[in-house]
Amino acid sequence: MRFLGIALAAAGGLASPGCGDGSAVVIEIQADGLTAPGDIDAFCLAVGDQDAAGGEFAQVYALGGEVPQLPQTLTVEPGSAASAFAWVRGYRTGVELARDTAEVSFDGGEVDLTLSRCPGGPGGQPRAIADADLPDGSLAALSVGRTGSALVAVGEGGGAVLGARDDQLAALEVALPPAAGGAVLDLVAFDADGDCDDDVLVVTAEAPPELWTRGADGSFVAASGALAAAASTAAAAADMDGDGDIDVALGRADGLDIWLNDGAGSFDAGGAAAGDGATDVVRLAAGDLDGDGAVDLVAGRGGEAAAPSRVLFGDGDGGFETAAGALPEVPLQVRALALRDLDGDGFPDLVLGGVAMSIHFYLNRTDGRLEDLSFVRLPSVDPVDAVSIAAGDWDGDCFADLVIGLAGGGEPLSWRGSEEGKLVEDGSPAAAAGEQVLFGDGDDDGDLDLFAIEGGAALGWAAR
Amino acid sequence: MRPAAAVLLLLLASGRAALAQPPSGDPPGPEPPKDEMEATLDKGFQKFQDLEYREAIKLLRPIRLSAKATQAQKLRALELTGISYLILGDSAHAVEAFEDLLTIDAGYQLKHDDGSPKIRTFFDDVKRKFVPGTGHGTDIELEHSAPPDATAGRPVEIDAVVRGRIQKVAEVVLRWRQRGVLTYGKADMRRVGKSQVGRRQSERWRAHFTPPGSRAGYEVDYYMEAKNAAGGSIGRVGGPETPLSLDVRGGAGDDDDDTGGRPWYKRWYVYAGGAVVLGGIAATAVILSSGGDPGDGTLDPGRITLSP
Repeated sequence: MRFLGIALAAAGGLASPGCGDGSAVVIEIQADGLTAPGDIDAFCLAVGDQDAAGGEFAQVYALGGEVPQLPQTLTVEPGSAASAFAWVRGYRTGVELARDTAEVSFDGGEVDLTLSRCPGGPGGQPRAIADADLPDGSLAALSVGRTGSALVAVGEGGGAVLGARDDQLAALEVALPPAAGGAVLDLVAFDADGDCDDDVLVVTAEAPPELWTRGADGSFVAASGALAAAASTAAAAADMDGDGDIDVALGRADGLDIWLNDGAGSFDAGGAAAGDGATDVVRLAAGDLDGDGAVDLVAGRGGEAAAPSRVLFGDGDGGFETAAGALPEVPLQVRALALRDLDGDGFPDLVLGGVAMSIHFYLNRTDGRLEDLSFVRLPSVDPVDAVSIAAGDWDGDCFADLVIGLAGGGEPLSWRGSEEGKLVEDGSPAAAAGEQVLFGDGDDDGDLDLFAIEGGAALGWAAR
Repeated sequence: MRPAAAVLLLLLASGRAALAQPPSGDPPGPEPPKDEMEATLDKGFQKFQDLEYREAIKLLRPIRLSAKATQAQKLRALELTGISYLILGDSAHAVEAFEDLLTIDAGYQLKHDDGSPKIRTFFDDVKRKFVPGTGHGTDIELEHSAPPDATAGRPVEIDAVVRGRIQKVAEVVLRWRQRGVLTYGKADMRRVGKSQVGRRQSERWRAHFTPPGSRAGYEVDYYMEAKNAAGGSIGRVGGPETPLSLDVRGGAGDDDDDTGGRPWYKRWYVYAGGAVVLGGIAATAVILSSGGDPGDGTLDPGRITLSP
């Protein structure tokens, strides 16, 4: 096992059993439908006292060595904690594949955390749950931590943290750094400092990207000097050098830089990306496309004029090389992309959307070559102006679904995954309108929710 | 990893492996070579996978009508045919194929729907109208866990995990037979645990049965069925015509004596049993003295105190 990150707040450590009023619980981490090691190469386990003044344990475990496989267990004594929140995230090359969360009540029982390929869900028709106002021009990302999942929204006019609980979207009274740098172009939630919670990388048009780290109480602070990058247009997070922590790729019109993490949330420009895939970058996504255990990148391009999107294969050491033949040479103006396994073969497939173009579906031939099967697999190839794509199993049938946000907002396209990776018209509205769409388990109930931002300022929450 | 967890994982893994094997309702003896009917079925399935549904229907038609095809082959052909018609938009023929299928096996559950809600809903609708007592959409999944093999004359434990709307499940039964015997015996399953993660509920059921003692190995066919309060089948793993199989190793028969004439108190299992009893007493004493402490976990550091 590689010891990658540990946070024992409040001087937590080993102690004899029996202290405190509650009883010890055993947290069991297991995989369901995912091989571990295999589909998952590492996991991060955390448990934190729900009292922010209490302690927290968090550690990243690499699978295949001293932790040969799942399931595994950890015994947790409460000490003075009355209750706790536990979560686990399963990674492949630093890209999260599955997560689970649970409340811990210290009643002596067992807490199961399952990294599931198909977490399931209630299914049924989408229904609107709640809405809330956001700062103008907001993008949003979901962040999990010891106070549970929260939606972090950042816009030109500032930021907000919202909790999705009890069918309400409520602004949380937590500190957030001031937003600066003009329009927010990208917002990426990832664990920068190895404590298993989601920090947020804020990419703005006029200022260098800023890393906001999440604290015990769910607040965020700017990690000044963590990342001395140039102003960028797009970001992606993954373990790019194979050392177990999560690194960052930052793209812009004239470059693509790889920032390597020291494991504590401080980044150096140690990697490199070569070829035309490293220019004119509008959107970025990371995933192991060819199954070699090294993360690869997809660069959506075409900022001013149409340009072919590119795959950049990683060498596992922070280096990336453009592979011009991996994607069809079709010039596009990409504004949204998603990497997600849509046909259940374990390899990420690609969905692209952009300016006045049909949605493109590229099937991964399991060697990183992406074949355009849009006509066969998608319900429509009519041109649209797509600005965001959410991909995930929203209806709980184990097939990834797509919700596609369109320029100008309104009803997003909602396509359900079906057999062999085909998408079909949902036939029912997504129940949340907006140009920016996002899937995530916002209320920690084990299934996905849809969040949509209309006009940059009106947040809608929908669930099935 | 605690022993219980290890055992459960093993069971689940082996259960999936068994499920992945083609179901078999063939007579006893070694696996026969693939006959012409099976080859046609494979070709039809290949066309189905290649999305050439019309070709699949054409190829599978003779199997539906053949007097030589086994019930299992007909069931598979009818399922593929019904789904193909449905995908092609020919609901009338899809209903016809599914009704033919349910005539053979009223509790049949689709295997090639790939989880498509549209196909499942359609099939459930046909089933509800065609099979009395089925009720509305079942919304449950049944998964089973079984050991990779068994020994003749020794008990076998098989688990079923019901997920989804478990309150609809009134009973889960295991039916099994020694391959070659026509009728299935019944082993009632009993609830052994329930869990809930988020909104997902699951319930574990367990059954024991003892395959007949025999020096020679053989196979056991079995399937499991969840029933609602009306007695309708709302979930199945395997089926009477498409059972799962369990290899049974040859073991001591009822009339065998492999003890070498030793008195009972010198037989190995007396010592083993005694050791288990003593170990249990010791373990109980340790547990009582430690206030039910669950022991350290398997992950480093094994045990933590959250807020000292």
